[in-house]
Amino acid sequence: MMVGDETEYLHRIIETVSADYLEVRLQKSSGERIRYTNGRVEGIHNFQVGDIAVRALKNGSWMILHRSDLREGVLRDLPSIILRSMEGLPEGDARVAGSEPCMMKKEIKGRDVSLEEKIEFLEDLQSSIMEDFLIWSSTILYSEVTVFRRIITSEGGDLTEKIPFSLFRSTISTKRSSYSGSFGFSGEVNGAVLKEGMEKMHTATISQLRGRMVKPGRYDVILAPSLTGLFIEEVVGHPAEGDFIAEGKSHLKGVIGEQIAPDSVTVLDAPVEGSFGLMFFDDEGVPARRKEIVKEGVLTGYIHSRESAALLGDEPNGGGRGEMGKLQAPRLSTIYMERGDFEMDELLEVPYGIYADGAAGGYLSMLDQRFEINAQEAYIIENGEFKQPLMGISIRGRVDEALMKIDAVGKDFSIVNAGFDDKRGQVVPVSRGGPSIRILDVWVE
Amino acid sequence: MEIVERIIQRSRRLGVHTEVYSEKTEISSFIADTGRIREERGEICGIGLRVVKNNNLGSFSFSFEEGFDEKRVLDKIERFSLGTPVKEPPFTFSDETTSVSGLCDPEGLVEVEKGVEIVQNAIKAAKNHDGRIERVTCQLTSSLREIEVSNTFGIDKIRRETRYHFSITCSSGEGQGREIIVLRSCKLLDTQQAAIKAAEMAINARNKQRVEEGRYDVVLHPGAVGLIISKLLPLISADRGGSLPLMKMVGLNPRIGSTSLSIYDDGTIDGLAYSLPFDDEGWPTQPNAIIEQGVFRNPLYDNLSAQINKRFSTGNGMRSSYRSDISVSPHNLLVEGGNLSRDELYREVQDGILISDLIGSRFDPVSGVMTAMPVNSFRIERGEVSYPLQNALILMNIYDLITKVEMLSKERIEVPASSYAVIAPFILVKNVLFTH
Repeated sequence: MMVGDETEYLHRIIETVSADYLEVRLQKSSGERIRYTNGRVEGIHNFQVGDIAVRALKNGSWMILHRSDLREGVLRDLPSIILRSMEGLPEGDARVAGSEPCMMKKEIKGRDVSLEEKIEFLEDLQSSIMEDFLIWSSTILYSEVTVFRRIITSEGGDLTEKIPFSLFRSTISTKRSSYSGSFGFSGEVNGAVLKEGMEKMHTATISQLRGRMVKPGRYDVILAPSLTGLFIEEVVGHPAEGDFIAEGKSHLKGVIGEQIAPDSVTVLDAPVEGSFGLMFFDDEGVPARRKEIVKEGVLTGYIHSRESAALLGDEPNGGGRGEMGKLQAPRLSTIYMERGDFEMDELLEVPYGIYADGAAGGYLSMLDQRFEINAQEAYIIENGEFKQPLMGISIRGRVDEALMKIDAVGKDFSIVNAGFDDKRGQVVPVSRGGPSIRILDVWVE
Repeated sequence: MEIVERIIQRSRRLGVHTEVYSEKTEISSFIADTGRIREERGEICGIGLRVVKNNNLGSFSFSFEEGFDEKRVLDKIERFSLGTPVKEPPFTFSDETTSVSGLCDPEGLVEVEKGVEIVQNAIKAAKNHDGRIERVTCQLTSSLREIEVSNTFGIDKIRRETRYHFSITCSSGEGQGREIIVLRSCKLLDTQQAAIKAAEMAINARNKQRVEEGRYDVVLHPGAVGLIISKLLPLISADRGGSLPLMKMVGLNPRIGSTSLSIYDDGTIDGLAYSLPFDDEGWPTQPNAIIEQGVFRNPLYDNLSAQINKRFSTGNGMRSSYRSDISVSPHNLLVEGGNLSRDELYREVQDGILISDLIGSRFDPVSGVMTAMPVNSFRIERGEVSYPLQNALILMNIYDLITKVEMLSKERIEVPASSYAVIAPFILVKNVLFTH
C-alpha cells in the first residue's frame, strides 16, 4: 500500500462484502486549535487523525464498523469482521433509497498561515477589547481543520472532497455581563466580517451592563440574522428532517403544499461556499443540493437521508449526515432564509418593540409545537429608535403562530453564525442565518 | 506500547518534557428501534501528547496510518515554542495509584449474539409488562478501554476498564419513560427490571394535564438535581484564567449554600462506573470535598490549573478521547442526603410539583438564573403524587436554590451524565416559577 493511499483496500471491502447496500467512508483531518485568553496563548493543540467507517445493510439490518487506525493490517481485516457480525444480526426492516452513482472530486484551497501569523491575528482581534477597563476577560477559541473525505458506495459512487474550515468562538465578560459569539467559515477566513462581529460583541457586552430585565409580555420583535437563523432552524429546519416526519413526530408531516408562513418567507438548506456547514456531498455519498424547504411561505420539501427517503417514498437529497461509525440521519448543513425588501430602518418602525441579537441556543418541543430561542443582546425600540438595553431575553411561542406573524424580511444577510448541532448524540457542523426579520406580537421574557 | 517508550526516549534526547497519553478503546453497540436492530462496532486508537519546550506547553494528537512517521510527530513537538507559558511541566510526578477494584469485567465486549438477545429480551419485557406500550427503543453499549499515561519524569501507568451502558425508552401515547444504567460489570445489568421501570413510567405519564402558570413548591428528582449541578460544574472547577469559579462569583465569603448542602467528588469508590485509579494525566484519584455544609472547600483541579493556583491536582484531569484537550471533570459527584423519606418530602410540599428531569436549559452564570423545561413532571396534591403534567417552563435562581435548600431525602439515586455520575437525593425547592 502506498503511504496515505487506502484506495485498494476501500475497493476490496466493496468487492468482498456481500450486502444489499454498502458504503465505505474515509476521513482524514488535520489542523490546530488555539485558545487565546486575555492577550496570551492559553493552549495550542495540533492534530492529525484518520478514520474509516463501513456501513453494510443486509436483510434489513445495519452493521457499522469504525476504526481510527488506517494501517494496512487493520484495513485488511475489516471485511472479515463485518461479515462475521452480519451473520449474527436478525432480519429487520431497514431499507435505503438508491441514488444515481456519482463520481466527484472537489477541493477548496486554504491559505497557508504560520502559527505566528495566527497568533498575531488573534492578538489584533482582541487587543482593542482588552484595552477597555470594563472588560474582565476575553477568550477566543480558534479551531481550524482541513477535512479530506472520500465515500465509495456499492452503487458505484466514488466521491472525494477536501475543505479547510475555521471556527472562532469568543466570550467577552465584564464583572456583571458575559457575551458569547461563534463565527465559522470554509475556505479563507473573512477577517473583516470577523472583526466587525467581535466589535459588535464588545459593544453589546458593555451595553448589557446597563441592561434591565424585560417585562414579560407580548412584543413586536426584530431578530438580527444570527437569531433569524436560529429561529428557522428550530421551527422549520429540524421539523423538516425526514426521520421526524417518518416517525410522525413533526408538525410538518403531511402539509407539503400548504402555506405555513407569509409569502415573504423562503427557507433553504444548501451547500453555500464560504459557510461553515459546506459539504459537496453528504455522508452517504449523495451529492449535496439546494433544498428548498419553504418557498414563498409554502412548505415544499423535507431533508432526507437514504433511509428517510425510502420510508417516505422520496429521493435522497444529500442531507444524510453523521459521525464516523454511527448511523446517518437527515441533518441540516447551512440553513438560511432568503433576503427580502426591507431596509433596517423600515424593520425598526414599530411603536414599541424589541431588537434582539446574539443567538444563545434554542429549543423546540415537537410534541406541542412550542419553541424557545434565546438572545444575549436586546434593546427596547420606540418609534424606530434604540432605547433601553435589556438583559438576555427568551422568545417563546407556538411555531405555527410565530411563523405566520413574520411581517417583514430585511435586505441584509449573514450566515456567519456557526456551530455544532447535536442530534441523538451525534454532532455535525452547521451554519445558519439569513436577513433580519420582524415578528409581530410574540411572547418575550 | 512500544511507540510510547520511543517518544519518551526521543523527547529526552531532544531535551523536551513530554507526556504521552495512549488510548485504545473498543466499543460495541446494539441499537434496536421499531423492529430493526443494528450493530455499531468501533476501535479508537491513538495518542495525545503534551510537550513543554522552553517553558511553553503545546499539545498534539494523532492516529495511525500506513507509513506512520514517528519523526514527523517529533518534529511537530519541536514546533511548540509558542504554546502556553508554564513554570514547569504540569505533568504528574507521583507514581502512586489509588486502589479501586471492580473496574474491568473479564467479560469484555458484548458479542453480537448476546447483544442482540439482551436488547430483544428487554423490548419484549417492556411490551409484555403492559400491552399499552406502543414503542420501545433500546441500546446496549459495551466498551473496553486501555489507557497508558507516561512522561519524561519516569511515570508510566496503565489502566484497563470496561463500561456497560444500557438505555431503554418506552412510549405510550404522549407518555414516555426512560431508564439508563451505567455499570462496570456486565453481570450486574438488570435489563428486565429497567425495561419494566421504563414501561411503568411511560404509562404513568399518559393523559397529561396543563399546569397553571404560577409559583409552586417543587420536589426535584435526582435526575433534575443532576442537571442543575452540571450547570455549577464550571464554577466549582479551578480557574485557568478564563472561567469564573464560584468563589470569585460570590466574593470572598466561602459560605455559599445552606448547611444542608454538601457535595463531594470521589473517583475512588470500588466498582462505580466513573471510578478510576488515576486520571488521564496519571494523577491518583482521591475523595474531594467541594462544598461541605454550605461552605465552599476545594475546587477540582487538573495539573495545569493546580500549578496556576499553587495547589496539587485533585486527580480530575480528564480527556474525552486522545483527540481532545485535558479539562477538569468530576468522577462521581455525591450530593449528601437528608433525613426525610421521599413520601415525607411530598407531604411537606402538600400542593406542588414533582420534576423528574429537565431539558433545554439556559443558565446565566452571572445572575444564577436558569430556565428549563421539566419533562415527566407530576402534580403533588394533598402530599401525594397525582396526575402527569404537560411541558411548561420553569425559572429558578440556582444561587438562591443552594442557599435555601433545606429538605433532602435519605434515598439517593445514581444518575449518569455524559462523562461522570451524580449520586443525589430528592430535593425540595420552594417557590419555583412555572410559565408557558
